[in-house]
Amino acid sequence: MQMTRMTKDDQMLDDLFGTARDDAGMQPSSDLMARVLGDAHAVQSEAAQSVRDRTPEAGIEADIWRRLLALLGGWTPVAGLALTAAAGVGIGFGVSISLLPDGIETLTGGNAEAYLSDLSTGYTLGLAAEES
Amino acid sequence: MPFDARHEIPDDALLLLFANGDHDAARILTERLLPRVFGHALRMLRDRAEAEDVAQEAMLRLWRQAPNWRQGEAKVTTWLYRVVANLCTDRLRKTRHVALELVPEPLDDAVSAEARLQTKARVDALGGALATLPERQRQAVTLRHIEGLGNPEIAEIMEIGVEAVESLIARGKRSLSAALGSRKEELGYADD
Repeated sequence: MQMTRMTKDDQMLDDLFGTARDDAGMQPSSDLMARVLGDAHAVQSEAAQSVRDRTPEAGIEADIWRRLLALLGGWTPVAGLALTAAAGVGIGFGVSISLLPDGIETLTGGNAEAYLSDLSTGYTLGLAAEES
Repeated sequence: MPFDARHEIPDDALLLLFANGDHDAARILTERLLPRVFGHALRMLRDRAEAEDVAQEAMLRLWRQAPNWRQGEAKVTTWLYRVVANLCTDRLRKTRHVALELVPEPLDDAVSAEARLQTKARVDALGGALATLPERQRQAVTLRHIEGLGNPEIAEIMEIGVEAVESLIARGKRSLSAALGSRKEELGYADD
């Protein structure tokens, strides 16, 4: 009898948890969404201004980025998600990826491909790189 | 941008794009993460205005953290839930007050009035019972059974071991059963 009561209590709790998960009253208001998005854009604007203030370093970062990408295969077409990984490598080295064509569209656009040659017209390497 | 493709981009990749000024990434991250952050804060604080403040602050901290985000370490959601938990703890310690009923929100017109009343009664009953739990039990039970997280992730958020999480959840559920057991019939759960 005790075991049966416990099981029914568990079933009731599970159902209550499900009701709570689906509760529309727990959704953020459109005002809150707008405020959070406003904060996001403000932070992005501050960061962009900071990059503009560091112009000499931006050129050095772009060169480091080109050299990193060359190590990943030179002028080979890269699928969208692999480019995400490449972007992660670049960011891991503290390099801006503002050279990525079309930002998020590069990852989700129709042909889902981007050519590394889009990012540079020429470079020199301090390290050996495979040629494809 | 194809709608389906957006949902395949993981949070940390979107955060990278956000850090580089992509407004689409900002919007997708907000749509994806804010409901979870706000919902959890609301369940912890039981006060809509306080929960909005906590949710907005947590997301602001994420935006500021984005340029320093290290790939392959914590999940974005784990980091966010931990920030929300800490902000909620600060608020609860200051106010020492937990509202037992939330401000009602407009409900779906297609649902019958009786069903709406029963849903509201059940949500309020669970919310009231959760509010009586010690904060850590409430947090663990909510993260597991309402946010749907696994015990290892909850352990990381709460900065305790997995066994400690399991213990908190077990104790929390026992307390909830004790608090709600006598209200089964009232809440529409027939005792056969």
